Amino acid sequence: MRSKGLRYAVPLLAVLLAVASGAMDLRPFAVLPLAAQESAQAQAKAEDRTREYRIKAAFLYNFAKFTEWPAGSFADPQAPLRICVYGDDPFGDALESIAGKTVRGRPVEVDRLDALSAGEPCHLLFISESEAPNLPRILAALQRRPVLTVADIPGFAGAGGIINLKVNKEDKIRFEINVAKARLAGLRLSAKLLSLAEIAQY
Amino acid sequence: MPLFRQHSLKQKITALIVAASCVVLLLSCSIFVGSQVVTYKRIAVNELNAAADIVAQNITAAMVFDDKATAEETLAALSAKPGIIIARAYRSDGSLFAEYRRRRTAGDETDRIPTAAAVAAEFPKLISDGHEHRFGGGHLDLHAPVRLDGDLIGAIYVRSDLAQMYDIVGAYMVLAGFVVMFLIVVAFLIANRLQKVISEPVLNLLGTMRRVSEKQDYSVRAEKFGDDELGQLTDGFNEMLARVHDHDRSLRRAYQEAEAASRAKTEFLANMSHELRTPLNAIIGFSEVIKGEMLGPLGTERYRFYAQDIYESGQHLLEVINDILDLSKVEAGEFELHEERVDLSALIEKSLRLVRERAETAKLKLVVEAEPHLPLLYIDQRLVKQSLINLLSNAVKFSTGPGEIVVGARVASDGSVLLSVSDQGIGMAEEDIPKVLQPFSQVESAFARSHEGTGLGLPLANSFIAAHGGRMELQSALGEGTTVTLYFPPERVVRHDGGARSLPAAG
Repeated sequence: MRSKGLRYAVPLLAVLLAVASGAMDLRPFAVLPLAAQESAQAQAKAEDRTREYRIKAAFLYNFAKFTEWPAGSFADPQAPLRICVYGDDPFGDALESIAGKTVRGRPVEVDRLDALSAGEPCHLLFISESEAPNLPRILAALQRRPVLTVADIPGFAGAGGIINLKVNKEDKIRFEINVAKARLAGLRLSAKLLSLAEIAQY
Repeated sequence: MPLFRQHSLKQKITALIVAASCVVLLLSCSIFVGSQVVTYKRIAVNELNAAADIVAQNITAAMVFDDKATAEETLAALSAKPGIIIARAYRSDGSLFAEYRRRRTAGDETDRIPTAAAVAAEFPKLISDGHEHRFGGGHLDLHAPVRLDGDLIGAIYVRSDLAQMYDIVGAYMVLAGFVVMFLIVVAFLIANRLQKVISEPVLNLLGTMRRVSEKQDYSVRAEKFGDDELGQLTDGFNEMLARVHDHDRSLRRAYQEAEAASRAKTEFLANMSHELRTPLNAIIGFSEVIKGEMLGPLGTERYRFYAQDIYESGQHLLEVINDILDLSKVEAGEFELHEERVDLSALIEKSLRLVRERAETAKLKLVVEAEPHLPLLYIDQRLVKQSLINLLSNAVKFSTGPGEIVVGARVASDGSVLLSVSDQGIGMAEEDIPKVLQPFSQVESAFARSHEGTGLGLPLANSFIAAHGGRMELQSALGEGTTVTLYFPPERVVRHDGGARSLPAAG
């Protein structure tokens, strides 16, 4: 958890530093435009990424709304719906905005995992890009368990994941769904959701 | 109801029934079409609400995953409903997310596409949990909420044109129009039959009335059709007819009796006159012989005077009897004109000759003021002459002292011929003029009694001139003399070119 927080802090710190240096380094006028340009580019890129993951966080929440888990996956009717992030967390504080919202009466809990354990089951698992090399192992571990796996790794759906997020030409976030895997996991995805998705049939 | 005054009862009853039927039919058809409009509006709202709700259901995923293309596809599903012009999906912040427009067919529909501002103005609560609809401009606008898992995530706005509804309502109106027209014809046929219930007894009554007044036949009775007011009217009419019949019979009887009595009187007068004349001839003849001393002198002068009195009284009596005979003939209607061409001047001369002696005795001068070249008249010479003599006798009789009697004859401007006798005698009061024309009436008056005469002269002259189609006029004032004028109508004048036209003798 600590390493996650540090990683999360790095880009922010970089942005702050860039802003601070741009603001403080007033005297050498010749240097200023270049430094400002670099810092502005970095800032814009960081903002894009923040925005993208804020939208992706909302997507995660909405995937939960269009998915039905088998009855046994919740301890009781009021049990929370758990959304977990595995690997390096790219969301920043975007996920905190969905924590506490409800899906069919259940409060949403957000958690970040370092390791996959059977102890506290997740209903929706976002696998970070940092875990791409470990995908076969992770997916094998989740085989036939009612966990909606989501990632934004190219080839994720083909590799056995259920939903893979992509960015299309118009810079819109779209997703592909491996319907067979979802069925195998015992999850029922709404037809409305499927109608928006690219259906991956591997 | 001055509108119907000219029309018959049949037409009025038929028109009333048809008019009442028309009003009822039009009212019921209006109510029918009105209720259809209300029903169709409700159905249209319900259907469009249902369609909007389905779209709202199906569009949730596309909205939350910001998939505009799929949202538009979902909205395009509304193309299955032909009335829909435009459908829009709004995000929860009120911004437009996706839109579907009906493919343009004939004519540009841009004027029917509401702007965002128009929609906002129409539905201030567009993004809300409720449904709202509005009719206007031939459209139905409504909006429905888009909800996902209890959260309000946007709204669907739909505008549908009401052409389909108008088509159906129009078809209903056309159908209703045909039905109304057909039913009016049916109502007319039924009314035409039913009106007989009322019009038949009335027409029957009318027919009976006509027969009674035309043929004077009071024995007919109107046929009774029922016990309603018309039946009572028929009864009343029949009862009245019976009374009139009785009355008429008794009047007729009285009239016949009166006529018979009058005839008897006339006959009696005629017979009596004849019976009286026979002995009178002996009296007149022998008194003439005696006063003329044909068989030797009478000796005493007084006998001759007596004989003279007998002769004159006899003559007078004969005149009276002749007058009565003529009058009774006039009254009995047995009067015949013996018309011929008469020269009026000659007739005047002859008449004057008969009264000249008496006039000279009374120191009266006889003056003739006749137009030269008087036309010939086609008249009964004897009657006209007698009339003129009567008038002249009256003139002599009622003249008091020396003076003149003027006989005038002239042609009036209208072609009639006037014959007048004027005297300067005692005259008479204006109110007495009608009286002297009544036979016998003045025989009773004190005024006539002081003068000899029957009082039949004027009535006879009046009857005679009337028999010629003319008339008699009296002008007189007390103490200022009298003028009597006889008018012969132009038809009595013999024209130079041809024969006389004769009138039928008027009684």
